[in-house]
Formats: sequence, C-alpha cells, structure tokens
Amino acid sequence: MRTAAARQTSLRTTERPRENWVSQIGSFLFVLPYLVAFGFFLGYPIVFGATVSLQHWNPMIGSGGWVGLGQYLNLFNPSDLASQQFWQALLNTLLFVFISVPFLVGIPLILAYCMYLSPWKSVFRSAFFFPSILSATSVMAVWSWMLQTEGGPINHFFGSQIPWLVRQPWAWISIDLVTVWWSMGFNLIIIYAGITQLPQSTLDAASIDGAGIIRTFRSILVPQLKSILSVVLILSTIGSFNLFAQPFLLTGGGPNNSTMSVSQEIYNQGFGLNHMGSATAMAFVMGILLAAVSFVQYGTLRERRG
Amino acid sequence: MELSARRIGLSASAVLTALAGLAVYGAQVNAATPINISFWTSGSPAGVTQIVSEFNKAYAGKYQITFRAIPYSNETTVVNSALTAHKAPDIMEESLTFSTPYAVEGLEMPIGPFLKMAGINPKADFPAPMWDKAAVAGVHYVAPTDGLPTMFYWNKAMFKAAGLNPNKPPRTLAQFVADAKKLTNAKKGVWGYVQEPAWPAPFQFPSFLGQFGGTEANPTTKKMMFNGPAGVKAVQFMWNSIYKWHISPQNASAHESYNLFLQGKNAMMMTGAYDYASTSQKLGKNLGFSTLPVIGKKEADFLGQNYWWVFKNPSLTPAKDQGIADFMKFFYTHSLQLAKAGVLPVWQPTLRSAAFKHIPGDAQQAAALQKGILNPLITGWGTAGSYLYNNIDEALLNKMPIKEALDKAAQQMEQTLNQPTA
Repeated sequence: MRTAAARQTSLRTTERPRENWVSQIGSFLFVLPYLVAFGFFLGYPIVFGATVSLQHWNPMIGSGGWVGLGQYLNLFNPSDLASQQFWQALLNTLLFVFISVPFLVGIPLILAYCMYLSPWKSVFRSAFFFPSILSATSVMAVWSWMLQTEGGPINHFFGSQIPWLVRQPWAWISIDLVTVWWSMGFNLIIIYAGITQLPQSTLDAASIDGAGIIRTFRSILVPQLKSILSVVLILSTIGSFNLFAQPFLLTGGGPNNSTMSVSQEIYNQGFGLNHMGSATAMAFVMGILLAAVSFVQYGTLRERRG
Repeated sequence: MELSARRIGLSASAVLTALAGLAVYGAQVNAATPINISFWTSGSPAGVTQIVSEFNKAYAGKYQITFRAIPYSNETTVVNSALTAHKAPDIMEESLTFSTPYAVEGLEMPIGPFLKMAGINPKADFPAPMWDKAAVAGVHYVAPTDGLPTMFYWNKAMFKAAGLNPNKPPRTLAQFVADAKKLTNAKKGVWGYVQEPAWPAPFQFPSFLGQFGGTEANPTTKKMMFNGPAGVKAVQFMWNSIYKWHISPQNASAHESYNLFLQGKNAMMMTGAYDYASTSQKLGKNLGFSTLPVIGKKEADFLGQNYWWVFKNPSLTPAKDQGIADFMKFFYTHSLQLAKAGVLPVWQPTLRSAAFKHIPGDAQQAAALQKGILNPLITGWGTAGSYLYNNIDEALLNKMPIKEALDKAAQQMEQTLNQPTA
C-alpha cells in the first residue's frame, strides 16, 4: 500500500511540472499573436530606426554608410542649421505642451462635472465628443477660415482685426484654442466615465453635510479622480508632444518657424530633405525625452496617491 | 478489326482536333496578355482617368495602363516607400520639384528616347519655358504634362463701381497702383489688392523676381541668387502695397486675398490659376482673368506644373518602352480632355486648337505658359524654400528689412541644400 501510494505521489509530482509546462505553453500561445504583431510593428521598426539613425540614410537609395553617433552629436552642434531648427522646434513643442495640457485636462474636468449635474447629459456628451471624430484636415480648414484677419467670422463678430494666424502670441493662442476644441472630447468622456463610477453615497454624504457644488468638486471629485486624471494627463502630454497637423495646416509653422513642432521638423528632415538618418536621430531624442517626462509625471502622481 | 481501325482513326482525329484547339487557344491567350504599365500621379486625376480608359480600350490586348492617383499631401512618402520595396511605378507624374531627387540619384530614365519613339519633338511640342529649364545636369529626365500659371484676377463690378473701365485691367505698375488706390476704401474694409505675408507668396515672389530680371538660384552651384537687386525690388513691391501705397491690409492671413475676393472686398489678386474655377463660379461675368501685369521690366509668371518620368525599373523591356512611348503620345494628343476637365494641357497642338480656345479661361493661361518660369531643379528645394518664405513673411510683417531677410534666407538655404544627404 505504501509503495503504491508512494508511486502515485511520485507520478503526481512528475505530472505537475508537465501540466505546468503545458499550461504555460498554452498561455504563451494566447500571447503569441500579440508578441508577433508587437515584434513586427513595433520592435522591428524601433531596431531598424536605431540602425538608420547611426547611418547616412537616403530614403530613395538606402544606406550611405555608418556614422556612429554622428547624427546625435550633430544635434548638439550649434552652428548646424538642422540642429538649430530641431531645438527651436523642441522649445516650441514644450511651450505648446505647457500651455495646452492644463486646458486639455482642466476644461474637460469642469465640463464633465457640469455634464454630470445636468439633466441633458447625453446631448452634451455627444456635442462635446463630436469634434474628436472629425479629421484634422477638415477641422483645420474650417478654423483657418474662421481665424482669418480681415474676412474671418471671428474677427467680424468681435469687430476686431486680431492677426490670429499671422503674428505671435496670437498664433499660439489660435493653435491652443483649436486643439482644445478639437481634442478635449476624448478626455471629457474618460473623466465623465470616472465621475459616474464614484460612490453615490459619498456625494450624498457631502450634500447632507452642506457641501456646495464647488466644495464637492474640489474636496471629493478631484481627489477621487486622481488615478483617472493621471492617465488623462499622461495621454494629453504624449498627444501634445506629437503636435503636427495644427501648426502644419493653420500657420504652416510660422510666423518665422515660431510654431514649428518637432514632429514637423522630423518630417521635413526625413521626407523633404531626404536626411533620414538625421530625422530618426531627432525622433529618438524626442522619444527619450517624452518617456522621461511621462515617467516623472507618473511617478509624481503615484507618490501623491500614496 | 475494321471497327477498331475506325475507332483508332476517330480517336486520333479527336486528339489532333483537341491539340489544334489548344494551340489556337494558347496563341489567343498569348496574344490577349497585354503588357502592363503602371502609372501613378499625385496631380489632378481629372481628365487623366478618361484618357487612360480610352487608351486601354484602343490598345486592348496589347497594353494595359494601371492607373493610381496618390494623395498630393504625402506623395514623397508613398513613392519613396514604393522605391524601397522595388515596387515603383513605371511612369510617375508629380510636380517638377519632386522629380529632381530621383534624377540626381539616377533613378529616372532619360526621357528623350521615349519622346523620340513617340515621334514627339519637345522643342516644338511643349512651351519653351517648360522644356528648356527642365534638365538636370544637361539631361532631360522629365516631360511636362500640365501647367498652372500665376494669373491676374479682377472684379469687374468693383472696377465699374470705382469708375474704372472693367475691360481694361492694369498692365503696368503705375496703372496697377493707381487703380488699386481708387478701388481701396480701408474704412469699409474694401481693398484694391490684398498682399498676404504667407500663401500665395510662393507663386508671387518668383513671378515678380522674374519680371525684374532675376532668378532664384543656380542649380549647378546651388548658389542662391534671389537676394540680388531683382529680389529686393520684388519684395519691395509687395511691401509697398501694404505700407507705402496702403492698397492692401496689414497682417492678412494665408490665402485671404481669395476669400476677400469672393466676398467682393478685394478687387484684384495675383495667384495660381487653381482659383479660376471657384472665382468664375462665384463672380460669373464679373470675373476678369488675364496674365499678370508687368510689375517689373518684362512679362513673367511662375508656373505650377506636373511632369512625368519613367523609373529605371528592372521590368522595362523594349516592348514596354514602346508601350510607354505610345501612351505618352496618346495622352498628349488627347489632352483636350484635360482642358475640358479644368486642367491646363501643355501640348502645343492642343493649345493652338480652336476647341481649346473656346474653353473659358484657357486661352489666357496658355498665353501665360509661354512666359512661365520654373523653380530651380535642386534636391530639397521645396522644403528648403520655407526659409525663403519665412523670411519674406518677416519682411512683409515689417519685422525685418527686405535685404536682410533675403540675405538670411539665402544663407540658410545654401547651408541646407549643400548638406550631404544625411
């Protein structure tokens, strides 16, 4: 009996690793399609891009020879025009991020709360989300007409002659205004969904304790939505760093390159001047910077959440 | 035995008939397999699709053109990706500036032999400005397909209201300024002319530069020449219209001259012929349309355009080359269809035809083609040109002296265009 039991135990122990192994293989097979897609569409382009950034690379004919870190070092050469353009574009983009992100988080937060309190939730939800589904080209075409200095409806309405798209700071104000109008709907829906998930009892208790709308917003809503707001903040920052269509179609990067974004500069280098090596080096520097900013943002917000 | 012999005979004749049938079918299949020629364009497909369709019908079984219109906004990306994947089209049609890098990198076939095969004499069959200046290092790789000149538009109703002869547009600088002053009522927001710092400056500046006898750059040495006296005079005219003569508002947005023109608040504009259809639709008989007035010393206007070329594809064979040549000839001889679709052909026999001259607006554009000027054929000109127009913007916003702006643009463009491909 003892021998039979021992044999059975030994069988079980030898079967368990096999079962585990089979189970792991099964799990791996479920992940495999994603891994293949990840490797093909993300891993390979990143590795390929890294190799391109270490070479002279003309998109029409391919490699023109290895230059090591030459493309990266060139970005720090102040006498090089491409380097000057890159840093100016980076500063422009940072300026846009600092201006637009607070609005892209703050306005949807306030509107989502107003929407939550309003009896016409679905109407407002559709109305605010609608611009997000429009293509960049059509949105920018309409706004570039609306913001014209002489014949634009906005200046006509206010009886003014503000050079919205022609001079600074108006060019940045216009780009930010259009960006917020166009893309806040997505953030608004996320935040609104977060508000609807808050326990009603907490809001009711605040109401019984005499908290008004503003106090409830400040002391209950915002603290409880911190995790959602941190996601919205990071997504908005990444989205703002990738600024392209708005200055490209509204101001053409002007006046005097003051609204030229990094993405546009990378595009010009790669596809306009065929300097693909330099363009990919710029893209990697921007990617590293963006990862660092997101990391700091996420770390800070996580610490605060405690 | 007799039966079996008959059977054998019948079987043999059946087999022979079947084999003969197969042979005939095979021959038919071979004859019906056409040579496939791929043709991409980033230009307007208007009229082209019809010509391609007619060619495919006319040469059914011999050649088959596979036509694809690619978006203008990302044409370089699409074509370069196709080149990298060895899937470039046989014939590509894009604007001239985009063709230059492919010629410089040795990816295009010289176009001369194709034109010769087609019996086309480019010097006689195309407007001289569109052929003579379209060579890279002395070799012609491209041939023009359509043109888009810079034109002069005026509102006849506004001319009449200002006491001017609506059928006598200004032809000289003095007439232009005098008329514009009469047409301007700044208090009411009505302008004789609207000079934007931004678009359509890339059509206007090369036109005025050419009129003052200047050129943009030397394609061989890549030395910028637009910052000479002619360039200064060209920008000076644009600046004067805003700040000296006050015939134009300050700070006009890109393409604002067009919007104000449609609203009846701008009497004259100088821009590409691309606005003809919409302005003609809106203003009807009140639209005046002609070649540019002479602001400088002679007639000249910048030409927007499309050219085509043949990529050095391994699939090219003498038979395919002949097919390409036949298609080119067919395209040009049927180019009246382009004109009917609103695209300006460049085939001289079409331009001279009575049918063409009856199409509204086309005779004026055809006249402009003969005085046209092109951008220099330098790789990266389109992108590097943004330095030029950024600095002209600064001058027209009165933030920088004209000469300084042009010198700065020249220095920036020379540095950019002389960089090795990195």
